[in-house]
Formats: sequence, C-alpha cells, structure tokens
Amino acid sequence: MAESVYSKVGGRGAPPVYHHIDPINAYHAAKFGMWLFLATEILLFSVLFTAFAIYNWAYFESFQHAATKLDWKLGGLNTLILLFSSCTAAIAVYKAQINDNQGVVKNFTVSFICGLAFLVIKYFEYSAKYRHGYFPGTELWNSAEFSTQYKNYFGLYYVMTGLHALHVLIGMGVLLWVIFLARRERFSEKYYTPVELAALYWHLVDLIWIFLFPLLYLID
Amino acid sequence: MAELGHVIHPRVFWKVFAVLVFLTIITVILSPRVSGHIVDFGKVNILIALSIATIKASLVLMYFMHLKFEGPWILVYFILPVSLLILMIAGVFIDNPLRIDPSPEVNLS
Repeated sequence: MAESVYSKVGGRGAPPVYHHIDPINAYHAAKFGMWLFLATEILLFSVLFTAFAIYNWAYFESFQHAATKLDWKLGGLNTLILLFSSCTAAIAVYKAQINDNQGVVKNFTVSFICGLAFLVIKYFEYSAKYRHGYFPGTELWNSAEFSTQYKNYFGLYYVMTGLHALHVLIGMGVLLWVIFLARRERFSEKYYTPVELAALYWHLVDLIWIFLFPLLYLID
Repeated sequence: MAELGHVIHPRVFWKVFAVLVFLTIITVILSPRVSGHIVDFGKVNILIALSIATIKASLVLMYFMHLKFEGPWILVYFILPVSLLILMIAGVFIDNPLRIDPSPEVNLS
C-alpha cells in the first residue's frame, strides 16, 4: 500500500486523486493560486521599474548616454527569441488539451532551447560589459570618471536583467520537469494543470522582458 | 472538456506572435538611438515605448495566457490590483517633474 497513489489511481492522463476535492475544482484552484503568485512577481519587478523611472528622470542625460553602451541588436534578438518561446509554450497547452503528449514535449523543448539561447546571448552581453569596464570592481568603474549616475544606471541594469535571467533559469527548470512528465504520457484533456501553470510562468518571464527591453536598451 | 480551460487554436497564437514581432519592430524603429534621431520626441520617447510595450503585454496576457477567457475571480484578483499598480507607477511619472530637478550630465569618455 505504500506505493504511489498517483501511479495506481491516477495513471496515464488521469487527474491525481485528492480524495476531498474534485478534479475540476482542483484545476481552477491551482490556476487561481498561480495567478496570485504571478501578481506578487509583477509586484517584485514593479519596485525596480519604479526605481528606474525615478532615476531616469533625475539623471536623464546620463541614462540616455549610458543606454547607448548596450547592444540593442542583441537585446532585440533576445526579445524575438522570448516571444517565439512564449508562442510555443502557448501551443504546448493546446497540445495537452487535445491529448497530444508528444506535442507538449516538442513545444516545451523548443521553449527550453530558446531559454538557453537567451541566457547564452545574455552571457555574451555581460562579458562584453565586463571587458569594457562597465562592471562593479573594474578599474574604470572605480575611477572618478565613472560617475554615480552611470553606476546607478548599470546597477539597475544588472539587478533588473539579472533577476530576470534568474527567472528564465527557474522557468527552464519548470519546463524540464513538465517535459519529463509529458514523456510519461501524464497529461490529457482531463488533466493538464502542470502544463498550463508552467506555460503561465514562462509567459510572465516574456512579459517582464517586453518592458525591460525598451526601457533599458532603447532610451536615448 | 468544457469544464476545464478554454481551448485556443495555435492559428490564433501565430497571428498574435506576428503582431508582437511587428510591434517590436515598430518600437525599435521609433527608438532615436536606432533611427539616428530622425524621429525623436525627447522625454516622451520612453512613454511611447512603454505604451507599445503595454499593448504587447496585453496581447500576451489575453491570448497566450488565456486571460480573456478566464472567470470573474482571476479578473478581480489579477486585473484590478495590476490596474491599481499601473495607476501608481503612472503617478510616479507625473510626480517626478514636480519633485526632482534633473542633475546635469556627467560625460563618460
């Protein structure tokens, strides 16, 4: 009896049995909880956006000048990559809804690879900044030439994009977990909660980048 | 299964994706640093870029995240607080010019 309840009662494509709640309620409750969590995530990033709005006003010229140090082509490429990965994540939910577990695996794998590509491009951007000396601890950063205004801009840049990159990394982990479940034919039209929640998280990552890209790269 | 989530056909997702790419290109073209200051609205630039970003975010929320087809509870607990949040951030933008004097530029060679 110690064996997993899920494998016996749930099985392929069937919702897990919670004993005290019916699967449809469980689905809606889980999704509602996810939306509340997404609201707190938006709150977390809003603080940073607000800080940026205030400093952008106070140090307007310096921020415009500092923004030209970023590579908008790489930023734009990353935007397209995330939009595309978001689209495939949305299609994965549709595939789960039509009982196509292999479709979930394929579409989430594309999203996962896009996330990886995003992080690789981000790595090249960060290392270029480091080489140019726009990085805490470098000689240029510590010199008097590098004013507080620039430190503020790049500080916000690293915190905002760094926190976002962390979310990409966590999102990739979640996708990997759902891919693993879908490979075991775990989902069906009757039960696809993890697919939908993972996709929602991935869309949030995309949503935040939609605001980060014009704010950080395109002002001037 | 009508009791679970709303089903949206991928055809719709690809259309939304095309619109998102189009709006991204518009944002990039409107950016003065890309266009070489052919189009430049000064301090209003950032508000234009953020308005387009808000449209893009709404599309992602409505279609990719199925928000258009959600029940009243998610709308009340998500749309209402986020609307208040946008109102407060907009307040910061309005408040800034009244409180803070922009400091002069410090050049980085």
